[in-house]
Amino acid sequence: MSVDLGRLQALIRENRFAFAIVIGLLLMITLATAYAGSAPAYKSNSSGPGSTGGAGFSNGTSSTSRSARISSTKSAGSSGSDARSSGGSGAEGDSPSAGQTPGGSSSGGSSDGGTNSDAPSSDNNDPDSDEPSDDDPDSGIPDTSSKVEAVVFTDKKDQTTIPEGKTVFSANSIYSVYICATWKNIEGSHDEVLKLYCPDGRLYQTVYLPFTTYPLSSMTKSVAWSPHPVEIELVSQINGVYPVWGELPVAGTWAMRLTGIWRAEIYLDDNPTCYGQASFTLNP
Amino acid sequence: MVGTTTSNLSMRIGADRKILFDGTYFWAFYCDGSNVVYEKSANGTTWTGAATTVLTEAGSRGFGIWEDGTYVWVAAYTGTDGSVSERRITISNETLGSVRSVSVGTGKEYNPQIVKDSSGYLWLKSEDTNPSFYATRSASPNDDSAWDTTTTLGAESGDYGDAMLIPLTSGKVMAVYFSATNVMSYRVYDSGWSSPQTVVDGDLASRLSGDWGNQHYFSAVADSSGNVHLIYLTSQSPAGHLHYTYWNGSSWSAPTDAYDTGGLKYPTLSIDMRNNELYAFWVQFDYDPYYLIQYKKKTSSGWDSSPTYWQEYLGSPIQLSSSYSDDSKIGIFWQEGTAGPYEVKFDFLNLPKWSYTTGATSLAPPSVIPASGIVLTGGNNTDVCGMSASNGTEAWTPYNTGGTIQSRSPIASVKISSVSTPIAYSCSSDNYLYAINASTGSLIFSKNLGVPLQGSVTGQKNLNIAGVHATNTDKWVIFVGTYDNTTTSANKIYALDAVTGDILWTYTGGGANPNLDIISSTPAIDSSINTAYFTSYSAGGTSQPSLWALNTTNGTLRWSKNLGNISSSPSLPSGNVYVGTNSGYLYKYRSQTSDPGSYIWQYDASSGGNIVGFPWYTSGKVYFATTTTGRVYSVIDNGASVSANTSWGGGAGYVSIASPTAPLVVRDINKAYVGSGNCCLYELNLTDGTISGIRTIGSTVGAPALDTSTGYILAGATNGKIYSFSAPF
Repeated sequence: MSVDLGRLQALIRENRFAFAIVIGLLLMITLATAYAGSAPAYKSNSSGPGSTGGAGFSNGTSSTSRSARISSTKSAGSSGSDARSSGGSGAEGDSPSAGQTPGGSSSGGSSDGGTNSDAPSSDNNDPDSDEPSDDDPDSGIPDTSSKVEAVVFTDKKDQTTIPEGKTVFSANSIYSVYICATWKNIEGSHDEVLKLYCPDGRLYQTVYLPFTTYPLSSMTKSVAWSPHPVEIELVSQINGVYPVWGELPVAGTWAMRLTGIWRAEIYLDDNPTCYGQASFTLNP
Repeated sequence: MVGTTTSNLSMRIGADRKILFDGTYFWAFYCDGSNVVYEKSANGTTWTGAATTVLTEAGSRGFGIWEDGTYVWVAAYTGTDGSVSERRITISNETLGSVRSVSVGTGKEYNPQIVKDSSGYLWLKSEDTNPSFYATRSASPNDDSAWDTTTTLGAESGDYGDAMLIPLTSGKVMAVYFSATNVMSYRVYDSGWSSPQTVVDGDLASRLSGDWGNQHYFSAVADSSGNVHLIYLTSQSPAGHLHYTYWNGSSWSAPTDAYDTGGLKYPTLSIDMRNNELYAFWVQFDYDPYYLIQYKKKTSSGWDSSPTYWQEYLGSPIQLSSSYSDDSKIGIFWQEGTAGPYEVKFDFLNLPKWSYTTGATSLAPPSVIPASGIVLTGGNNTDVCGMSASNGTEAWTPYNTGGTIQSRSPIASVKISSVSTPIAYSCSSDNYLYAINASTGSLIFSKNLGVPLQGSVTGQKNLNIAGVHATNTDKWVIFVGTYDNTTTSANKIYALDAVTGDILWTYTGGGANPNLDIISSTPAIDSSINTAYFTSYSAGGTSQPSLWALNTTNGTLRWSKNLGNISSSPSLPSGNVYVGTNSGYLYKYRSQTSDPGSYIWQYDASSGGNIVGFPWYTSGKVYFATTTTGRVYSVIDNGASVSANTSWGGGAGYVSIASPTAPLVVRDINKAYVGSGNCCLYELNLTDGTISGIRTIGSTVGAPALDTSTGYILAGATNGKIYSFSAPF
């Protein structure tokens, strides 16, 4: 719920107040549906200007596809408090903990060293719940720290779920390794910067992944790193996190030769802080 | 081998330079037992044979040389008469100057070293046996006829010592020397000598009494900024660790490990003055009775993590010297043998002629505009970069595409309204094909094909089909396939106008056509029969074709074959199509418009796995590489059949190289060049596959290319650099 209100706030900042009101009403309806347990896992990866908010908004509250792996979440506090938080796109000013993401794709969010505890709550592991966690020392305090909860690798891209992930791939058997970074406490429009390092430790590629948590009036933008306007991906919340997908094409690319242990590092916008990193093995 | 000597100290003291490269010839100086002599070589292998005597050297008590581009200055011990002999050689014509007798004082004639400072003054260092160290300077720049009086630099008590002069910038000179058993000191001359100060205290190797002439314990060089870099052997157990420190103009850095292992001897340090990269060489015992010469390079990011084994199976080398780099070469000089006559040997590192930094992994083979002096490449930093073929400087501001460029950006001379224009075609993962003026870096057109492009384009000239623009004087048509990995069945092949990028025809997989999986390769064009050959994946080896022959005039399918996934490109020599698959099979088909039926032959290299790049046919043999198990194969094409080349790889038919690229065959010099996953660029003898040279780059090396105008071998690497090497290695 907090995320949705953040979206509402961002819309207000965009002087689209009337539209935001409508969205807010839709949210209330959607939330009610979700708590009734009737909301299906929903895919919303449309990123073009024509993708409207309705579908995307609804799966922000879907809980049916929640993975236990990422169920340890900061769930409380942000509800109703986004007016005091960084407010949607204000994550740049936050101070995430570096290296929060555990290696590989295993349990995410367990290494938070910041004030926003991610300690799993046995009583309340619903990321969409507004109920404060007993384990959370910051209960009731707005969470303003955007962070990557996990970096997950998979060879199948399915934006409707958070993948379980793998850490070993065969270069001759796959087309791509997909890198799914799950963001918590993030709102607005950002660029995820994915840095991929090949087995000899050299920078293989920097991938810019523009995304937004709410529809924009234009879902493309001009950037310094491309001569053409680039599309902005509308990401939808799943199980309390926003998955942002990157890709390392393997089939027929240089990566086929570069077998060994690869490393992915996740950055946000111009912030030099590494929000998360993980490794996978590419075998011949 | 350069020559033989009866002196067991023929290049004493090796930390000083004894060799040079004048741009054409290597010069090697050594003591033949009674004289300082030199020999020359154009290739580092074949030497003069008859040594030229420069000075008499009595008793193998040391000599030094210094080269300034015009002269070689030589100083030698000639006896205990209170003087050191000195003589210059004019490099251009080898004229020997007068023998000068430089007075240094009786008993102070040992181990002379000669250098020239940046103001042109000559400096001569000598020692006595106490030991104390002395320096004297020429009275005038570039003139060895008169010298100032000798200055005592310092002394070491209780042991023999080493000392070395290092010219700095602004006419300064540094002296580094042992000042006590375990202390190294330095002084700097700047219109006068500074007082002694400590370089290192307590970290030095314990030297063997009486062995001081045989060994040296440190070596130093100055870089282009006047900073001094020094390596030395330490007392750390086991003795013989190599430490490094540098002087920044005012103080020395805390020593660090250059090589954290014991048992090293004869350290000698060289520098590539173009980029201030250091090369440390040393001798190490291998196993009885053999020794090794190894080296490490230090760049701005530090020393190589592990040494390069350069010379092996050496018989007790007891001297080692190196040169400063000259014209991208660093020579190494050593004496070998346990009894006279001793062998004087030489080899050299061929450093990159130049390197260019792109910013991210760049493994595509670079392109060259024929005879234009510009090299062009793309890479994962998404830029198309142009650089000087002669020195690697940036030719124009890199053109930024929005995606990675992983295939060669071929350059064609295309007439636009009758004006010849070198156009580079770069395929980017941002869905665009870019046509860039390769001389200026300006964009001619970009074409959005809707899905990523991975392979490169190939063109056909004089293909006047419908839609070719009027300004396209020579009717160039280019062909490219798509890399849409969201589908295994709906990729496309395009023919486009080479001047405008307009689509002339599209071959679409699916529907009435066979399904078309991703294309990551570059097509081959048989213009004699208007046929383009493409390779593709085949949806994991299902019934989909992976070798395609299309009519270049209209994009209709002539024939196709399902050979399983193919990521490499076809090649088209002599009316045949050669193609290698990801499962390691090499096929030969007849290039023809109608279905040729079965292949002419098939070669099973499945034990090597995925065939990369493209097969290279020359003189009845096909060379190709596999990466699942890193091998470079040579097979004999008998026409209707194929057989392993048992002359290649010691009879195996392949040479094992880690994660190799496709070989670049250069027939003129009978070599093949292969990039590898173990940070080296290999040179193989084309006849038998033996490795004739290695260039260590320090990161995975991409597919090499040949600049036919300079003869340089070009290759990129995962460190984002493009390198140029002269060839043969």
